[in-house]
Amino acid sequence: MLVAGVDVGNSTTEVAVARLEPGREPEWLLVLRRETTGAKGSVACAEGVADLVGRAERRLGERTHLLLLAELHPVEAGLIELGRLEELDLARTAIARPASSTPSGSGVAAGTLRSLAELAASPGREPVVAVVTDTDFEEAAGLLREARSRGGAITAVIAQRDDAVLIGNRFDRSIPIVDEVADAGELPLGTLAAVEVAPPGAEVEHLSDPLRLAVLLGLSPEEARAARHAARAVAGHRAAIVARAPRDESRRAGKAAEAPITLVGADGAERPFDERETPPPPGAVRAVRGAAGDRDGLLDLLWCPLPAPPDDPGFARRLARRRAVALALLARGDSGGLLDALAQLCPGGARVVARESEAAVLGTSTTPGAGRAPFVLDLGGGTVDLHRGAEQAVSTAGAGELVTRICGALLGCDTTTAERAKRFRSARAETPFVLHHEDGSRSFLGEPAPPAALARLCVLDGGELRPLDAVLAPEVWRGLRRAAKRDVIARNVRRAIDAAGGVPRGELVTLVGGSACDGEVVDAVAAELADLDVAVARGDVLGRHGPRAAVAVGLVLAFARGGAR
Amino acid sequence: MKVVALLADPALERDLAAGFEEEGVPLRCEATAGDAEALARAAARAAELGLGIGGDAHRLVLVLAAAPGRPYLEAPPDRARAFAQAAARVAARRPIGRALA
Repeated sequence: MLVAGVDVGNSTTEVAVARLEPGREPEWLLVLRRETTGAKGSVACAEGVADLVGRAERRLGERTHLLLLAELHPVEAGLIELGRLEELDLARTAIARPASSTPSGSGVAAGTLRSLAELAASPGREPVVAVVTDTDFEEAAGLLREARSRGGAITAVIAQRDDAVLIGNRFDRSIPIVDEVADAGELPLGTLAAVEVAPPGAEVEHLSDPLRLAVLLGLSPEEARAARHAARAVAGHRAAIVARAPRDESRRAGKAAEAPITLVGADGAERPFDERETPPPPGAVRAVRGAAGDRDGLLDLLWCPLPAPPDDPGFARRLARRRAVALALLARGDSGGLLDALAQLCPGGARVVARESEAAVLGTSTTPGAGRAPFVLDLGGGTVDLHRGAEQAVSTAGAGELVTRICGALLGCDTTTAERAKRFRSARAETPFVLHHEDGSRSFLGEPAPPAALARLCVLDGGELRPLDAVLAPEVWRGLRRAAKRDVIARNVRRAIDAAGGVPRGELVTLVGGSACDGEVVDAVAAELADLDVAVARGDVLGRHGPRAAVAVGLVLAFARGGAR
Repeated sequence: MKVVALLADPALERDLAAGFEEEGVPLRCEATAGDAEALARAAARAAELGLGIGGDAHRLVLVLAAAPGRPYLEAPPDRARAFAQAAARVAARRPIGRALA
């Protein structure tokens, strides 16, 4: 008789198919996995299970008779973005733009924003920041020269196109000129703006100082304090502009930025969310309300600021501007008849044969050399689950998917790219033929790197270089990537172990689940648990599946040994 | 040290020069005859910065001196300015914008 252990996780669904004969050990035939369809434990998961069962039948030429499941405790793991809140706040005082890979001149200057047409009509006498939109660089430089010859006090230029050096060479190489300001045409003409260009290799120092910025833009002492947001937005860049926001934008943005986030504790007490606090232990928060959306029935909540390189304060300030905090949620879900739906897939139906913890421990115990695995850490996509023996389980919110989200926020890329960047090493093509690796070593390329990869941080995906937009050295990115894994997964391992009452000294802690395939995660967890003096090892289920499929295999073992519920 | 561009179409020179000037990379343009890829190879043979550029009425081509077998970058004449900036960035080992690459 063929049976299949089925483990539906938050991210991945796995089945382990085995032939069972009375009085014999299971004959292991196949382990398959795919993305989970729907929320863990919901009826929508049946679609993914059906796909895997069908694939197994086609591969084996024999139909699975019975599906074996763990007790269903549907949970929903989710992530909430908080990134935009402070950007809205920024607009209360100013419009700030980092700009220009090739600016002209250097220094800082301020003046009233005026278009070339306005300057041509009346150059005026007050200091002016000229705005060049779609005018050719030769013509723009000519108009600027003419305005200056008629007495116009042009202190800086903002250009929409990539023309700063061309305009500077034909007008004035000494004043700051920034370009590639895509929305230059929408800047509020008539308001005060400040422009700064730092020397090559340096960062703006005037516009990133709130008080200096306030002086340049004529802000009141109260507004100067709010200017910290604009200062943060441009910190760490070589060239930038900051303009005072028009009044209507101030009102609109101010309203949105005031929406708070409230946490509701297990005792019903409400308190404002503060990302600077340490997340509470699992079970301490039961609901979240406000700007991030309302969610009830929470089992756990974790938030995590983005890591920053310790020796790059400019980078850290840029991240803080994004208020780069992700919330991971774990909430009770509704199975809504999943067992019935799965029972339709096989002639023998579907049967609950064990608790998930029991299955995880049984499956993990098949790791060669383990003997038994009393503490199993399942490092998945949505949660870190600690299984202690057959009975106790602690789930914490936030695992591989939260790490992916953090990688995406650090790199400014989509989820698919972030997933690759999380899993694979990186390198930078210093020249078309030389790769600079994360450990500082270099290798020579037989074929030139693609133009899009040149001088960029790239993910090494097999033989392919996949370029990223982030301007980071490979060594720095490695540090950030590892820090994200430490801050989410290693931290949640500690929270789960603390909530479970600890692990005895010298005991074996075995890591399974998709995230345990990542050697950096295993290292981070081992480092986190160093003070407990425990043996941290990666599972190798049945000696051939690595840390995958522990629960699915454990369910078959539980059934073979007579377990049925 | 300059990047050399051999051009069969003199109309390309203004935009090429502007793109290189914006990037701060020196360029020398020479008028000649031939097809863009052959001109780029010829320019690359004498290259000091590891690359050569050729242009005719139909396209612009950049060839790496170390891999002259096929174009590393190419663009139609109406994209000469963007091509020039990308070529200058290859010479300066700076990232090329996605649209240009």
